[in-house]
Amino acid sequence: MHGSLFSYTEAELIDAARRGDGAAFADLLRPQYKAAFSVAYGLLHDATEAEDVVQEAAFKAWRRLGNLREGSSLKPWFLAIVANQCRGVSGSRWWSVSKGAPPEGGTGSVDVAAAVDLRRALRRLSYDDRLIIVLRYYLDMPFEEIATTLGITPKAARRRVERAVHRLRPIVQIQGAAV
Amino acid sequence: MQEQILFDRIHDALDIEPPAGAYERLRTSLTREPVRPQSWPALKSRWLKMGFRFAAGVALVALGVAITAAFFAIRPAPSNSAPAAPPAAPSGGPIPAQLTGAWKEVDDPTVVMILSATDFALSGNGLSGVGKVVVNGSEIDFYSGTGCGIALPGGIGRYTWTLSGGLLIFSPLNVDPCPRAGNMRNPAGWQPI
Repeated sequence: MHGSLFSYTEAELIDAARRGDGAAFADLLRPQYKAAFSVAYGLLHDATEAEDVVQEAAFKAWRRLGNLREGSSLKPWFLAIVANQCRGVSGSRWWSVSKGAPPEGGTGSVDVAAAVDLRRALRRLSYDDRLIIVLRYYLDMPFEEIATTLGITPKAARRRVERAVHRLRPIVQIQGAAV
Repeated sequence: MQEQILFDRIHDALDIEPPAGAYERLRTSLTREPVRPQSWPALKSRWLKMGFRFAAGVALVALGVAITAAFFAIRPAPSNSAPAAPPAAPSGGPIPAQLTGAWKEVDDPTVVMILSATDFALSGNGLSGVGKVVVNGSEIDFYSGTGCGIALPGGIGRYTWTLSGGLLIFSPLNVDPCPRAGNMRNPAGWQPI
């Protein structure tokens, strides 16, 4: 089933992956790769580590593919696995990184200092708050999709976003952020 | 600041492309190291999920017991001489009996609050801390929260409380400067565990 992205449906690819076809599973993940990497990078702020985490999450997802409910979307399910994988590698490392130099990356924005300040502010948030900020404001996810990823209701997802912004606000002095 | 500005600032701060060839490396790994996905029969899966829910329930109860135990551990032993009240602590008495116990947020049951006569504890969704609480009629004041780090006379969150249909709802009377504020002012309220 190599190069089958345009000739097989997601259901067919899942079926092939469940039978052990790695190329089919890779095809399934291709549209999700950038989002998965973004979640990992947003949580870890280290591109190399983010790539490793996505790779480990991919193998974990493949092994657990039988748990994906029929008709369910792959994206929130896979992103949840990536997020959980990040949780395992953050912890103490997160704080050691947060006190060091700012990470590489960025778009070359004109306001580099503001971007660095925001990255530092994000690092001071709890893991759960960072995750919800990344899902909402970096992946531009609607609350319904965030809810599916985190296994909560859309209403709870909205409230978690509000709380995270509330906690972020005094750190970066965001005035009147509406969510 | 509008939400769009926050979107833009987060993107400015975090936008980065995956390293060159990252997806291709993943694809090569997946192709080279075949994995046999686990498959769960429907019945087994259902029982497994029930098992997980039961385990989650047990964990929640254990959390409540642990936090309650922590209350009693940090609470000073009763004595005949009344201890001096901390300076500038809000006035009021112990919370009514109907408010004591463990509560979870209606919208987000992972957030648990335990109220004893003079103490509160919050846990879940990145929150973790204990503190003091007093009630004065319909007003309830939270202060000296370990998750807040603001000493008296600051760090006081003043709310009115209502208990209706089994739901406990707080309405803010001031701007609570502590992280608990987002949880306390949730309009859906708290339900007993």
